[in-house]
Amino acid sequence: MAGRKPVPFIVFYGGEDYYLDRALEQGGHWPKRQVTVLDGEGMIEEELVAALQAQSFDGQDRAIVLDNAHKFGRKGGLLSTYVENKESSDDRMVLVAVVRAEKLNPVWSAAAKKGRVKEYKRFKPWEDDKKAQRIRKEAKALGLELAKGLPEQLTAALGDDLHLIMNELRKLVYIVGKGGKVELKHAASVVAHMYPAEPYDVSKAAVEKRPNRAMTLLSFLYKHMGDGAWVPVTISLQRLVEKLIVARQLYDDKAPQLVLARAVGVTTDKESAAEFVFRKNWLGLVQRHSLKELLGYMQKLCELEAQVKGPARSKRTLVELAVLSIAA
Amino acid sequence: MLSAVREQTEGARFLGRVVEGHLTSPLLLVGDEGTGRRFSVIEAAKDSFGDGDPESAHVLQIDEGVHPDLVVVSAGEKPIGVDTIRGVVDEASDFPAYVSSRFVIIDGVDRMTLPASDALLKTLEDPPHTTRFFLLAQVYENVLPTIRSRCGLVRYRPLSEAFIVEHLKEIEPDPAKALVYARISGGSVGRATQFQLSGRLALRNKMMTLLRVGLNGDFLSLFAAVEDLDVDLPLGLDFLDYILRDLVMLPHSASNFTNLDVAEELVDLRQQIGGPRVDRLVEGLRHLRGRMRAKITLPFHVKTFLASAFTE
Repeated sequence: MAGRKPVPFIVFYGGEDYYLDRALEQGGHWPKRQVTVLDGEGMIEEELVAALQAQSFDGQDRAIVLDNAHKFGRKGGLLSTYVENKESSDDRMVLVAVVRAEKLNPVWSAAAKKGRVKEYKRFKPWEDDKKAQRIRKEAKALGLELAKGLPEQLTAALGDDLHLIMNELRKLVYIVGKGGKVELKHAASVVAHMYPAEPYDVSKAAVEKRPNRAMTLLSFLYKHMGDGAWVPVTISLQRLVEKLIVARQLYDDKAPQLVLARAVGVTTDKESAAEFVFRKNWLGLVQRHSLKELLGYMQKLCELEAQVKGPARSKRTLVELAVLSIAA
Repeated sequence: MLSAVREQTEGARFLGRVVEGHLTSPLLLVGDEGTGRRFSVIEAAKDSFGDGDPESAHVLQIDEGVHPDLVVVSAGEKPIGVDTIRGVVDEASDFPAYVSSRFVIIDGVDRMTLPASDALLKTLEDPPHTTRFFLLAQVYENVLPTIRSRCGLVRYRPLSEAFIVEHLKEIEPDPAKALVYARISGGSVGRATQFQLSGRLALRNKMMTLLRVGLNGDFLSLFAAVEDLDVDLPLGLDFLDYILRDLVMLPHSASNFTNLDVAEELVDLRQQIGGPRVDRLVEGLRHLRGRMRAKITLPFHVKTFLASAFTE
């Protein structure tokens, strides 16, 4: 953090909490500056700007590390004016802002333009390749080499939470030693057996026609989220089925794979990569359901949503039946 | 002046009695937005404050919205809160500044928080003799029963097409379009004006395009068109309702059309869609409306409804 040339603003943002927490921790290390760590939660803009404008008693340069910076950003507010008036070359006060949001609001965008910005994107549930690549990169930083398929196994066992995955990787450093290769048996010895399911996992298992997995994930999800799980599962199923119905129609019309890939939301710039991702993650799903079936699912899911959001009884059974009717 | 109030005879009669001083109890004016509830109370205030003189200073002040004895409180996007009502109650207990009876209009008693309703109850039960309360609501059932029982009920009926067309003359030069606005306004001159000023027929045209896209059977374009409607989707469904009604009426009575300005296009559309599919669309929309009470994900439901109706 302190190694680079200081700028008045350093902005970290995105949905990946692990990296944001790390940025927050590292943000506090400024050897020749007086550092103040603040939390935007429960703080008002006036307090923040007053802290930014205050000077140290001994004339030392200062840095403020601000967590939950997304709580600020009122257009025309004090902070907005502060950012606007701050010269890019004035680094006596450096503000390190950790914005826990996928997008920057205009105030933080303006701050980012006058300083440095780094995005820590949370990958979509289906972006398995990117997730695996990131786990490998983090393992490498710890001095570990992961066996083939191990990142996928870790994600399957621990979910998307990078905090949990990093904890297990740190344990594995002790098991195999720095520079060692981690095999499945090593991972199995440290990773607790659990399935932290996301609503998307349930819907994916359902459209993959894996009823047992779908039901297991659904019960894990219920344990984790309680009755609050039914609406997210329904919405997740709706989104997936909607994508599949469009893709299936294009597939029936013999549209090129790139068109199909774009229709299901594969955003990779490189065309061949998009086609590859589509073939790997989507083609099987598209082929597994007919257009008529998918239309039937859409209608069922409309009914299900009205039921789970309405006063229906036994919502859990209703969702289970809907998942099973798709998965079976 | 109350003589300017047209169509709403019941409202004008009750308000006339208030002006004459024969009626002092609070009135609950129930009717759709834009049917002249607030307008008629303001006109009654002009009569009452200005003693029937249209040139009086009171009338001018009311027109400028600065008369201290005409208090208007309305629910905006948020319901009326308890603090607002406490302010009104405090003001009502004081003597009026210039006239013998102050007029207080609370527009949106059907969208008032429960504490706000409770705060108003006691004042309504025994209103200060120098204050007249006029509570405006769109949905009678949404008004607290204890408030309803303390007020005299005055119904405001939907306004006639002819009246709305007449009113729109100044802003809509095309009489066919003016009639369309009148028909889709549900008897509300306010809504008709709002539709005209915001060019809402463009949304109606979008819904017709949506049906054409549906005819092509291309889900990708159909779903994108639904997404494109964004926040206009609920109003778009109202327009779709009118379009479908026209498509149903076409073979029977072309004069009862709502969308007169696009009659030829509708004939063409009806031919392309075909009778059985029109029936399916009507049925599907009816189902969809039934589900809308549960705060559903509207775009997904609309996509499903259209995709099902257009798939053989």
